[in-house]
Amino acid sequence: MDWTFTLETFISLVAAIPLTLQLAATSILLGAFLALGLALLRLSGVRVLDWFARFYVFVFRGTPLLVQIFLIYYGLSQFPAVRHTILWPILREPYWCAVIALTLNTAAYASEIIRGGLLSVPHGQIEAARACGMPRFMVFRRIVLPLALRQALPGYGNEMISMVKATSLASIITLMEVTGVAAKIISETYRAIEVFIVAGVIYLTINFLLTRLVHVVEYMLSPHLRAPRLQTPVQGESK
Amino acid sequence: MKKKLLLAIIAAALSFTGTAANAKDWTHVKVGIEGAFPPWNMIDSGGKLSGFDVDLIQDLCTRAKVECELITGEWTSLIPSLNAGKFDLVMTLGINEKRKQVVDFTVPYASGVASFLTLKDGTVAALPMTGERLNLNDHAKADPVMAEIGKELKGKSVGVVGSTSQEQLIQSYFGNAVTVRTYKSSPERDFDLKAGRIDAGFDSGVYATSMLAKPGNEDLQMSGPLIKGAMLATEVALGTRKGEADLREKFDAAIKSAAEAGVIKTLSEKWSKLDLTPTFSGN
Repeated sequence: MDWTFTLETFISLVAAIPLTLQLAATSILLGAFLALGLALLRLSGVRVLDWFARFYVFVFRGTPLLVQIFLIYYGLSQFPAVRHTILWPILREPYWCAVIALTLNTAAYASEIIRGGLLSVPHGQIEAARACGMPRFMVFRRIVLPLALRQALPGYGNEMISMVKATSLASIITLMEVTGVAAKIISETYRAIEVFIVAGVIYLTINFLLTRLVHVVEYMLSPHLRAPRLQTPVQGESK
Repeated sequence: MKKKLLLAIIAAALSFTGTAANAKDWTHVKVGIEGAFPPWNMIDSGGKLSGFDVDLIQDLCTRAKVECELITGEWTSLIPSLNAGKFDLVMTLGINEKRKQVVDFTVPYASGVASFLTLKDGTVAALPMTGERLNLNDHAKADPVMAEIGKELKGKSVGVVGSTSQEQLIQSYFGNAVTVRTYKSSPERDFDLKAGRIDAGFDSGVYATSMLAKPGNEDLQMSGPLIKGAMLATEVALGTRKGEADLREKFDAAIKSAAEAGVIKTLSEKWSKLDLTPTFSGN
C-alpha cells in the first residue's frame, strides 16, 4: 500500500460523498411515500388498484436497476416527443433521472415491506381503537402506522442500505459520486486495489452510521418491549 | 543463519530473473489488443480480429522478424496484464505522461487528431478552422484560435469520454468556461449530444469520421480544427514493460521502416479515410 496515494484518493473520494448521500436520501425519502401509497393500493380491496400495484412491483422488482437507469436516462431522451414536454427540464438532468430511477426501484421493494408491516398489526389493537370512538383516519395515524413502521423497520433498514450501495450505478449516467470518482482515479492511475479499498471503507462507514440510526429509531419505537424503568410511585395514583 | 540463507536465495533468484529478462531472445511476442475499438481493432462478423491495428502489427512483426500472437483483453486490463507479464506489447496506446510512468512507449505508429462534434443547427455556432489541422504546440498560431473557440463555448457543456486525453485537454483549456461531462463511452456521449443534453462533444478524429459515416448520426457534424499537440494523446504507439529496451528498439525500427515504405499511409487510409502516418522528429 502506498499511503500518500491512498490519502490523496481518500480526499478525492470524500469530496464525492455529498452527492452519494443526496442521491440516497432523496430517493429513499420520495420512495418511502410512493411505497406507502403502493402498499395502501395493495390493501385497498379495490381490484383495479390492487392489480396496478402488483404490476408495478412486478416490473420494478423484476428488472435490474442498471437497465432502469439506462432506459430512463438514455431511452426516454431518444424520443423527440419527450424532449418537447414540460418534463424535459427534469429529465434532461442526469441527477433527476438517477433520483427517479432509484425512487421507482426502491418503492417497489419498500411497498412489500410496508405491506407486511401493515398486515402484522393485530386486529385487537384496531378494534380497541374503534371502540374508543376513533375515526378511520385517526386509527390509521395513531395505531396502525406506528405499529406497522416498527414492524417493518428491520426490513426497511436492509432496503435503505441497499439503496446507498445502489447509488453507485449513477456513475454510468455521468454523475461523479463516490464510485464514479473511484473509477476515474483507477483509469488514470491503473491502481485498482487502493482505490477500491478506500471506496469500500467509505460505503462501509456510511452504512455503519445508517444501521446505528435505524437502531436508534427502532429503540424509540419499541418502549413496550423493554422492561419498565423503576419509578417512584406518584401520589394519588390509586385514583 | 537461516535468514542469511533465505536472503541469498532471494538475491540469487532476483539476479537470475534479471539476467533472464535482459538476455531474452525475442522470437515469440504476445500482443495485447482490445478488439472493440473500431476502426483500430474489432472482431469481425466471422469472429476474427480485424482493423488497422491487426493489419499493421502483422507487417511490423514481419519487419521485426518475430512471430506475433494477438490476445484480446478488456481495455482497462491491458496495461495491468502487460505489467503482469501476460503480454509483451500493448496496441493502440495514446502516448501521455501518466502512462509513461507505468509503461515504455515505442515511437508512434499513428498520429491522429481530435475534433469537436456538434449538432447541426444546434446551440454552438460554426467553430473556426473547420477541417484544417492545428498543432497546439505552435502557440502563436493555435492560442488565438483556441481563445476564439473558448468564447463560443463559454457557459455551454462539452461531453468527453472519461480518463481520455481529450478530457484533459478540455479541462485545461476550457475548464473554467464550460461544464465538462464525462461518459463511459463515445456512443453514450453521442446519444446525449443528439438529445440536446450537451452542446458539444470532443473526441478522436478517427472515431468521429467513422461514427459520422454510420446511419442515425446525420444530425451530427465535426466542427472546428483537427487538433493535435499539448496533452492530447493523438500519437498512438505500442507499449512495452518498463526496461524492455531490446523489444522496444526492434519495434521502433519496424515502425520507422513501415512509415517510410508507405504501409502506414495505405493501411490507415483503408481503415479510417485519414492518413495517420506519424512524424518522428520531435512531436
